[in-house]
Amino acid sequence: MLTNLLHPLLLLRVVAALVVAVLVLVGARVAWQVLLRWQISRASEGQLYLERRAELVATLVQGALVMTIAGLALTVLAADRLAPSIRGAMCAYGVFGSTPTGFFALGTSAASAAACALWVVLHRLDLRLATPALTRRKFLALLFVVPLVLTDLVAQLRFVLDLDFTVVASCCSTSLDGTVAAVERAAPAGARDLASGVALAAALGAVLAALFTRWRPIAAAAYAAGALSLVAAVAAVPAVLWVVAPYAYESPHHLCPFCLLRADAGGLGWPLFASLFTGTLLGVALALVESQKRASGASAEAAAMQRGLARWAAAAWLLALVLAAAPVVRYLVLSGGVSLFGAHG
Amino acid sequence: MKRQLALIGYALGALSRRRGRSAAVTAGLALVVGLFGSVLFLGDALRAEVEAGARYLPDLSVQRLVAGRPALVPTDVVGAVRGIPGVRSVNARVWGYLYVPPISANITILGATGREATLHAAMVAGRSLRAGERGACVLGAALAEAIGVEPGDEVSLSSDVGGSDATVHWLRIVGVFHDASALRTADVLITSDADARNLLGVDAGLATDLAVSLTTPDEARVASEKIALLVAGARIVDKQLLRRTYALTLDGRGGLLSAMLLPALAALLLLAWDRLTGLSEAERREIGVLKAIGWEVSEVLTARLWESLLVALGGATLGVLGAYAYVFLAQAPGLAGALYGWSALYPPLRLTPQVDAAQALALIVGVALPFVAVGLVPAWRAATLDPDHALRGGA
Amino acid sequence: MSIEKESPAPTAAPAIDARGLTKRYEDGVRRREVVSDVSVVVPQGALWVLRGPSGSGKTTLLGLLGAMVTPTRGEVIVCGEPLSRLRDHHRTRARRRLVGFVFQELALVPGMTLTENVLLPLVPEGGATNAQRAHAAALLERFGLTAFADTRIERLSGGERQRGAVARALVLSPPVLLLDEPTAHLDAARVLEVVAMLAALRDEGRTIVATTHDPRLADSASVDRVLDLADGKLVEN
Ligand SMILES: Nc1ncnc2c1ncn2[C@@H]1O[C@H](COP(=O)(O)OP(=O)(O)OP(=O)(O)O)[C@@H](O)[C@H]1O
Ligand SMILES: [Mg+2]
Repeated sequence: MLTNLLHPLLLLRVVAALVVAVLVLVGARVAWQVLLRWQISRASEGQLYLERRAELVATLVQGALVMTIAGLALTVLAADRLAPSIRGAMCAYGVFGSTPTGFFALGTSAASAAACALWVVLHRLDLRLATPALTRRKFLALLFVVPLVLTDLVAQLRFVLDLDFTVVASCCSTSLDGTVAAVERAAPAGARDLASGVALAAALGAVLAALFTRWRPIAAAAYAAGALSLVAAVAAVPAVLWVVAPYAYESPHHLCPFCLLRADAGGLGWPLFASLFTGTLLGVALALVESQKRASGASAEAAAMQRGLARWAAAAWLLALVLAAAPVVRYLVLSGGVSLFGAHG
Repeated sequence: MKRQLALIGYALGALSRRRGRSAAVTAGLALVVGLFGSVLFLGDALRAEVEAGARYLPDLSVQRLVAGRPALVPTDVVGAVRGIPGVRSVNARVWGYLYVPPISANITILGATGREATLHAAMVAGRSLRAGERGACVLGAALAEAIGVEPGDEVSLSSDVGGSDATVHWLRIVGVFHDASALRTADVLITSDADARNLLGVDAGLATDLAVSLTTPDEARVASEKIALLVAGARIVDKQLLRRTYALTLDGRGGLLSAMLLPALAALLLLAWDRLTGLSEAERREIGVLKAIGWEVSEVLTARLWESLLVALGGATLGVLGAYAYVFLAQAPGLAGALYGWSALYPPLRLTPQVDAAQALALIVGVALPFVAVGLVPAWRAATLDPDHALRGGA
Repeated sequence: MSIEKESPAPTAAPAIDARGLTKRYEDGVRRREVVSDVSVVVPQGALWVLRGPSGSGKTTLLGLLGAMVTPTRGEVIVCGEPLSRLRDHHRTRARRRLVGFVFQELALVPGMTLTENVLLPLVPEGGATNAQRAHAAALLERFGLTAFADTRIERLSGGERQRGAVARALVLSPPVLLLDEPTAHLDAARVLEVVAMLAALRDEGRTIVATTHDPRLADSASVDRVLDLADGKLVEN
């Protein structure tokens, strides 16, 4: 419904997606011009002109990056705050689930933020180099960001317009808790332990790999940090679902990650998901820089950049671990060490 | 980090060197954000009132219409309704409005059903009613203040039967209650079921409505359908539905107001664009100097962006604070009527401060970021001025 | 035209090594070569003067030597750094470190105090450290400006501004100092002071190139060498 645009948060969300699309499109257009005219060896007025256009592209994409992050936060915030307006929706899960595009829009939001962030990493690496060895690559890469932000714009529009406040949504308590109960019957406690174990190990591994990269930026460490970050991010979904969320609500059968955003869970979801997202991105960024080391022709510069990224990657993953552990530890302390899931958990 | 701080310091200096212009842009932003914020805050406050009020509503209230006009509900259906699966309890309630000449207002008379326990927490003076206690009442704080009474006093009310039948009833006040939800309880007087029947002229065997509570709210639709079959001419109000209707109405009206404000925002962004693109001669010179003494393009750019971000954040924050003051301290004169046309029935509604921090933040960011985004290209233009401009004295 | 190295420094690179510098300006239909094929090598620790009539391209050449003006052709190497070949932001950073510039119009920022102006080149590096503040204060002291440290630029006299601009050019302790018409608006006594100041700075090991059409500066005994510029070309003297 077009009238959905009258809701301030939804309107803001669409505007944010629109601004991102415009910024990236203009940036890509300039990038394309630069690509057509770039001549690496000549240091002349023309070259200076191109360098300045390149600076424009970077400025636009960095602006877009900030907007995509704001947009991601807005997507979640809007869904969370709209839950009372949709019958049956108790949290953002119900709102996303009430339209076919909801979860897809959440995904494209995250993906375009990640794409812009990784592009900025590439750009920062390029800036450090004495030669424009990565510049062509950087601009080519931007051409791949374009379809992503356009998809996001369409997805946000669809999501906002598809939202129907007259439907009865099924929320986390029926869809999530139900499916998990089925899994529980099939593999009691085992699945839960496996998921949380993998997430914990991968996150710790990501911290260690990042710290190692900071100490000695070798290829293996950087790639390990990237891979472990990705594994930890994937494993974090069931781990949050099956362990963090139930402990946060102190109810073994309520598993919704989106309810963690609400005030009754202390808003734990916000910093938790933010640090998970940041940690994953920075871990992948370490691997990305590693992959460009040879092409850059200046591995010392790339390594210096990795050292900087690695510190923040480790910090983000540590923060995520602390935040995820907090409700579990609190429960165990209060209950005197008794697991929420009974003796076997 | 240190670098950013130094650049912020420079940006602040630059803003204060052009303080007239900075102040004008900040004020413009504050005005627009203030307008948006007022609509948002007022909407939030009213939503909260509705939510708080809904706490006292039963899951379903069953009323009856005869010939399209409200009629009393026969209490003999209570047993049958209670038998519907999913129904936990049914209360036949007696309530209505009574005109009180001394204060020239309608008050709401509510017959006690023994389920006012929630009031205990809200008593500001005295106690709540005992079950079946006759000749006594508790009233809302606003009402008590309007008549100027306190617990121990007696109030006289003439019943609403009309003509010579009207009799005067004396009720002793045993308690005064107050609730965050001014919208619902300000004008309420609760007395025993029998006294309420006398005052309102409701005969035994009839009730104003039936308050049905359900085992889970999900049963509402099915239960409503069954009740409709039992009670002829039943009009059933579903609490969830009511809440959503209110929420949507508020959202819709708020959105409409916001939409009307959009041109103001657009005008402001245009103004910002104009201001940012048209570098003044002094600014041009200053940037030329920075470039000449060795600032990089990105450094000048960052400094410029900090300038617009600081203006935007400052203006937006001022606007939000202004909106807060306007809505909650001044009670939104002029705007309130547009947003809650239906509350004329009630005595003045005191809005309780109710701010969703996340929404306020979204508002600030939502205005500040586009404002900065608009300035990106102009800032880049400024930052790529050739340093040799400074060689020949700017221009 | 080219000038041979005067006193080749065996260990260190020359302060400025300019090769075939050409600058062409295009304004509308007209195309003017303001500087034509200038090659020059300035050794470290020299005080050179660039002399020529108004409009001969002195300011432009000085800008080219300090990598502030992008050459149409040719390149400039400062203290071994091939500045013209660097990417824009790398060049700017190197320039900030290597070259101090005093502009013909001084280019101080009005509305800021003298100290703020002097510290301005330090802002992109994260602001002044305590040592750098002390250094700035010492520079002001050296040029007799301590009393004006917190005075706004527009309240200073021409001579005071001139010395303030020199202090700003020196705040990052660059090895090369370029000055455009440092004696333009000064009386005879002041001109001698400026010459003495330049000589003192040179004696501390800095390389200095100043443009002028003022014979009092060009003919001073402290000056190591005078280059004559006419119509954008160097002429043997
Ligand atoms: N951006 C420009 N576009 C076109 N022409 C320019 C530009 N900058 C300088 N010129 C021209 O280049 C010539 C040399 O200028 P420059 O400032 O270098 O001379 P100068 O020797 O420093 O003169 P003066 O002694 O008067 O300062 C002048 O004729 C000037 O008009
Ligand atoms: Mg000149």
